[in-house]
Amino acid sequence: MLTEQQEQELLENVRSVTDHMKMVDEVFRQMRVGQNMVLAFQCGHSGLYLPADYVKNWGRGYGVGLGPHPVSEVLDTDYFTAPPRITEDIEDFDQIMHPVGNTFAQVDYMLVEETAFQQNAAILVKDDPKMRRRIEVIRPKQLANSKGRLRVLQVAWIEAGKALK
Amino acid sequence: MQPVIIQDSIAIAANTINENVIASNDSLRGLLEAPFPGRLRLLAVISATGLRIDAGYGQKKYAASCDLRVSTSTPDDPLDVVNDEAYCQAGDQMILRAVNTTAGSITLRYILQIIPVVDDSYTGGDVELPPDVLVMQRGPVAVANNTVDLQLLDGLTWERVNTPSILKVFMTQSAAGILRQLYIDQDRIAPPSAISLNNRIPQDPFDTTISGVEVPANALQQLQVSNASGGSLNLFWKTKNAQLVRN
Repeated sequence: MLTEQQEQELLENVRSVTDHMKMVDEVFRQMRVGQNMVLAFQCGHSGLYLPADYVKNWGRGYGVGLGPHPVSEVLDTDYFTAPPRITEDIEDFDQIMHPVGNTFAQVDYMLVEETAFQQNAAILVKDDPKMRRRIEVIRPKQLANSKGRLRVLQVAWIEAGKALK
Repeated sequence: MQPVIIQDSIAIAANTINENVIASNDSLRGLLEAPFPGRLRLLAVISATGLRIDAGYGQKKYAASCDLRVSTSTPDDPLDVVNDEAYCQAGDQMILRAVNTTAGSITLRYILQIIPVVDDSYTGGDVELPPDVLVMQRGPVAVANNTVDLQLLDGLTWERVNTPSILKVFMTQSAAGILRQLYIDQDRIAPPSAISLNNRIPQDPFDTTISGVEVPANALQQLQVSNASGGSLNLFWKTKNAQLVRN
């Protein structure tokens, strides 16, 4: 059994002799297909990954209330609808934002690297029923979006003498 | 005489109650009161789960604690009708209350139609109106594995209706495994049976599971579900009590 260092040395030797077409790299790349890879569904709107059993267990923890046919349950911002008014009932600026909704986008089955899956996994409704974790991700995006109206409202909130968290 | 048609799309702030979404839109304030005796049709959808509405006119309610279908668009007519058989007098105020229990803002899209029940000879005052239909709809309701006879109407507004009525029940489930049954007081009306698999708020008439049930005034309506599927499931239900007497 070769160590990783021995493997690299052997590879360099073979490359130096034969690999003008980068064929060795290609063979090694194909050998590694399937290693550290996982099956996942990808939301066609956000690009976020959903678990491999997303469609199989549709309605059993995934996509509850979204109809009989599997679609993405990922949330997206509706910038076309204005944020709610600031009224006396609003105690905290965090209550104000453009509304969010499920994307209902197509989901596609694919093989992705495990690390990529982990870095881009969607937060599932069953793990976040009151949207707290997902809103922590979405709200800063709304504030950063110059086309949104949340920044204007934030200025109005501050000018009204109210504190931000 | 022409109908009044209100259609709006409004964001409801996180963790808040909006006591009347119609009044929240300055353009619609002039339509808060019914200009004539009319039949009310309410259709509504929401952008994500977590928003619930109550609808009423004057002192009366015709839709209580209703969850709505999740949709990216405006309500589909007639599939997203919440209630289309409530009758108001001229001058009654339209009320549409929304409660958002989530940490995010959610869009409520609704259509409220007031269809006149009088003709151009109407000169004002109250007229005799048909009785209302009372609607409740909920979902998703989590039904854990091995649940037996979970009472869905327990403590809700129209668990008992104070007039005789005809009951219609619509149900769907998120995946197969739930059985429902109905008792009126001690009488078993509908034995345990499977229901639709549509995984959304029920639609009339597609998801009808029980209909034509005579309910005496103040009788206890027990709508029960059981789940022996091996996993937790979610349920969606809607009841319509067509009152036989106007109160």
